[in-house]
Amino acid sequence: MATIKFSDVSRVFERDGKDFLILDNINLTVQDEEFVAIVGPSGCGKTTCMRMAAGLEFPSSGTVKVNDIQVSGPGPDRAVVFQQFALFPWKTVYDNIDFGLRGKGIIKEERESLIAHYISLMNLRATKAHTRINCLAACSNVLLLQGRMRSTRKCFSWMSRLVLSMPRLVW
Amino acid sequence: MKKALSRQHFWSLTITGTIGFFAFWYLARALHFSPPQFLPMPHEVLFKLVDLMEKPFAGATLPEHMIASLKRFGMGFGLAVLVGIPLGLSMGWFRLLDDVVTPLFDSVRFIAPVAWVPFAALWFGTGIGGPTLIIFAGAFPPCLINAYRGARNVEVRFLEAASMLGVGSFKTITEVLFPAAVPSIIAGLRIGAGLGWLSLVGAELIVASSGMGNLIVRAQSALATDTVMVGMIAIGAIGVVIDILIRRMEKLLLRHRNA
Repeated sequence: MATIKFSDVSRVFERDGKDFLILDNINLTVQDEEFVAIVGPSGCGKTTCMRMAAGLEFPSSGTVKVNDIQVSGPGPDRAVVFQQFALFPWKTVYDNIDFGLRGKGIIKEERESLIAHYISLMNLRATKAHTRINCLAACSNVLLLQGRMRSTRKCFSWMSRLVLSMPRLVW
Repeated sequence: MKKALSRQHFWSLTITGTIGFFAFWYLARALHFSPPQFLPMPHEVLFKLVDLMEKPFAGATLPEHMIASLKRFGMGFGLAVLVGIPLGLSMGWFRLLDDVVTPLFDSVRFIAPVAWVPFAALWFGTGIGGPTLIIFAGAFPPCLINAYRGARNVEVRFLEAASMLGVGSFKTITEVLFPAAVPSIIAGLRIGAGLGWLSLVGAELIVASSGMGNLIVRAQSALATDTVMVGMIAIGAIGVVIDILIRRMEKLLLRHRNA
């Protein structure tokens, strides 16, 4: 069970000595298993809201609570998919997924089977999970051929990593 | 900038330059710029180089001197790397450590490595500790600074991803910070190796028995200028080789980082 509660949340950014009020007394409750999309023009504070719930940023006033516990920092219970994919280019697909799992006390065999399961689930198997991620090339190929979204492989890699860190919330 | 020179053009310029340099050298002797004993001729230097490969001078042959120097360099540089890189990365991660170490470091880092010679002699006598200290003093700052900068310049999203995944400090430093900082670290290694090798001659002023710096100093007091020049050339050549080796390592490590 997981709920997110923004109570009177305001966020002020300071730049060049001037204060910019980005969020002004936001009150929002997201219920368990609810799917919420926040839309708005660029710079209106959508990402800031998300990051506050994730614990990557903190409100200037008001509180953000997840399951009635005030958010004090990031954690695996509040997973984040970063806009620019924070995959580690120096690690293989396998190692990227393994990275989050290793701290959880899961034994090696179990980790291996979990990762293998998700790699095949996300259809990454054909791309040799043990090779380095050459994302730029993959990206540009996909963009050229399909004219739409970024590298699907990167996206799926990231999703696998997320799913396996077993969060209660996924942004 | 104008378009790059063609290969032919480049080589012809290089060869012309080299010939010109040697011509000037011989000319300098012919015009008596300096007494003959103080300016050896290129062919004399070459003969001496070949000679020293077999016959000892100041107690050892040229290869033996080179190995002695490389051993000391290895120790000093190795220590600088082993201390500098982890410390630099940790300083980039732990603010407190940064605040404690940086003022101390900034005050000491501009002391020329050679200035450590008196203390090296007092603390270590003529053992290997003396030159190691001096080479360390030269190689340490770039290693530390570049590791520190590399850590500080890691893209924030990698650190955020690591903390979001619930990964602790040690793992973050070794598996995220360090790999991300590798380009900067390698640059630091190159500079550190160069400075460390340059400090070598100063280091070997206090060593009695062997080494390139020692060779040069002994040759100078014996007025064997051709030997001095052989020593200089050998020092320069090894420096180039060390640099090339590190650049190779850099290419190897960064091979995968295309993303």
